[in-house]
Amino acid sequence: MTGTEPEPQIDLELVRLAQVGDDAAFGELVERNRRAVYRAAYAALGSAADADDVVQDAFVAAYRRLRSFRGDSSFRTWLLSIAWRKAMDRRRSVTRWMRLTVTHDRFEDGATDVVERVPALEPSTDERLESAELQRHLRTMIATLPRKLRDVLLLAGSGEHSYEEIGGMLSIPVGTVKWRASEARRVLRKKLTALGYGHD
Amino acid sequence: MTERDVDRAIDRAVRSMMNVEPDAGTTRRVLASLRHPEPVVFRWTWAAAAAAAIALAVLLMRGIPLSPEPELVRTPAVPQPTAVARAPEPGDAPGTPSPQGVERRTGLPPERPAPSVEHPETIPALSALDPLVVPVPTAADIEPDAVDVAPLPPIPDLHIEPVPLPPGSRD
Repeated sequence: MTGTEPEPQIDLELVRLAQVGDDAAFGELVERNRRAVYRAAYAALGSAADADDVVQDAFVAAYRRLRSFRGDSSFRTWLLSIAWRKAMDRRRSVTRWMRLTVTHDRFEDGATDVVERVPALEPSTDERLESAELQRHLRTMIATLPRKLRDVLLLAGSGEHSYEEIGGMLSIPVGTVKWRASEARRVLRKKLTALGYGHD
Repeated sequence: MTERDVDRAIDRAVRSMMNVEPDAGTTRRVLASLRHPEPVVFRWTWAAAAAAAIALAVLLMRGIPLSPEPELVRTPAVPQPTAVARAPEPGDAPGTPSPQGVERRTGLPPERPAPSVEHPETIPALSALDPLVVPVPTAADIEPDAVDVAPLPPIPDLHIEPVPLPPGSRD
């Protein structure tokens, strides 16, 4: 392996090594892809604990099916498809539904405060308060979007997944991915206008 | 707010929601679970235990008894023989003690011969029961007896006396 090789090529070589029993190579694959898998799971589930479990399940499942990977798609797309299916299974599970009805922990991690901690270009106190309030409204609106729209919006906004990867993960055409992302924004804009954050 | 401001606000909100990082020990945990996979039997044990717990809960909620109640079987009381002193009969051998005599000396009941039970090869069928014949009631059977009602005596005429007015009152 050289440092100039493209990412999918590195993954492919690591897969070949892991397929013949090199666990260290598989560990390297985990290390390289864990953030993408975690953010995909988090976009689907909105819970750090659930996303952690899905990451573990997805990598273990990928390891067991590694011999069946033929390289038709990139390893990352193949892995993300497995992770997304695991996340959907968990989203539908009864135990998770019961836990959520008690804890309501969707998208309520500390990460949601990041925006409020980073003021942009020294805004006034009023502007900061308005911005923080707007962000709170937006997070609530995003969390209550229809699932199909919300999944695409969050996956695209995670900074880890291209539209092509999202299409591969969700088994939908890239055009549908783009339409859903656009539709999610349109719905959010409409709701913001109703709240008084209209266009000038 | 312009449309561009709104879009920017949406981008910021999405980024803030997705600004999450996996646990630092993910790789170690994954590799550990590959080296020590959870045995399949263990997982099935959990599944079976959960299924049993659910079934038990359903049964308890429905109030169904866990086992059928034991059937009470009445057995006819066996008459216990009472000890009756028996005078030795002329046919008895002089040295043969009577059963009651054995019981008195040893404190144990004497051995009694087991009653012989005959096992016939064929059991005769029960005799057929005569069908119950119930006469069909007719209308006359269920018609009640005529009831005679004596007429009431005539009501006597009512005479209402005029109330006498006090003296000096006006008509």
